[in-house]
Amino acid sequence: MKYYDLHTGSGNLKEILRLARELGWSGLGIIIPYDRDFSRNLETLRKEIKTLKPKLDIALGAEISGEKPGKIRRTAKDLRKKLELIVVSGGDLEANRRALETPETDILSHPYLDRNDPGLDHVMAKLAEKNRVAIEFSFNEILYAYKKRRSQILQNLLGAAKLVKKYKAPFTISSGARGPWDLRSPSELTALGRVLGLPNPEIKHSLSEGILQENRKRLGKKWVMPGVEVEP
Amino acid sequence: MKLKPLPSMKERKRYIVFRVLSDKPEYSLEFQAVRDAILNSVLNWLGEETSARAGVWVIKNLWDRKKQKGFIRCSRKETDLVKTALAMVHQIGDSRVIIQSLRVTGTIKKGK
Repeated sequence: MKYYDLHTGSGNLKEILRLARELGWSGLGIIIPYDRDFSRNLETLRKEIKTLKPKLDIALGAEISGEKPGKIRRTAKDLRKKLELIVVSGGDLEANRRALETPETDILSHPYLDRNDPGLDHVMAKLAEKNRVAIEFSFNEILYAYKKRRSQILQNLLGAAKLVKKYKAPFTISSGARGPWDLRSPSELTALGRVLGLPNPEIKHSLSEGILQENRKRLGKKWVMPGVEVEP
Repeated sequence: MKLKPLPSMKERKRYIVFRVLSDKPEYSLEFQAVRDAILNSVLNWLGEETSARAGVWVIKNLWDRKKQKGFIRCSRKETDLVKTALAMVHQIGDSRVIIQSLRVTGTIKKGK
């Protein structure tokens, strides 16, 4: 089976690609922040990937964060035409909800950031299921937290997992790596999913290229709208 | 005299084969440092009660210093928790590390 880590950073890219291959990943989603220098950073990253000629399947994406909740939809729509992955950084309840209401969003990252609750409720979980927006369970957050903070994050993850399981919302488990040494192998992320009580077949699906396949179709010339494609 | 439990009361165990990837591959890590890091992480992640149930044991004579590969024995029920605890180790001494679990087996022979 091919495993994909859909949320990693771009710091020290050469080492990230080498380690990811060694750990057994088939593909990576490299996400860069959507800020003022986004276009320039994207171009630089594309050039860097071209020169490195990785043996992994690379998907590029943007992380929308710090935007006013009202602007998330417009930004996601603009980016949809250019990129394979669109991630919205959660935390604020309004932002979480807007991200889940937007079908153009692929992943809602850490909806529980800086909160004492999962940042989701049953209404949002239903929205995630309806609009096929995946809730991200990121390993990186528990990796660098200790004691009370780690237990709080785990509690939030368990709460989110419960909702995801009940309402059959899509989810993804990622390493959320900022550097090469934050990467973890597919086997460890699967174990984390099981610890959170997520269903086994869905865990495997969440680590596959499911999200990317649909988005790559969208970027192709044949795609018109969901469910409609032009035959050549 | 060694105490021997009844066969029906024997604990069901699994062996996790792991390897350590380090940012300083020129210095191979000692068994003791790896064992301490793993046991600390297990204790932090599982807590005292569950780590007692998990019965984690890092096997000394199966540590391959050259390949940085080793075996952990644990209870069958707690395998996923122990694997997650292994993933929580990110530093041993002053080296950044990743502990990767390669496979889970029922016998040592199959893991080799």
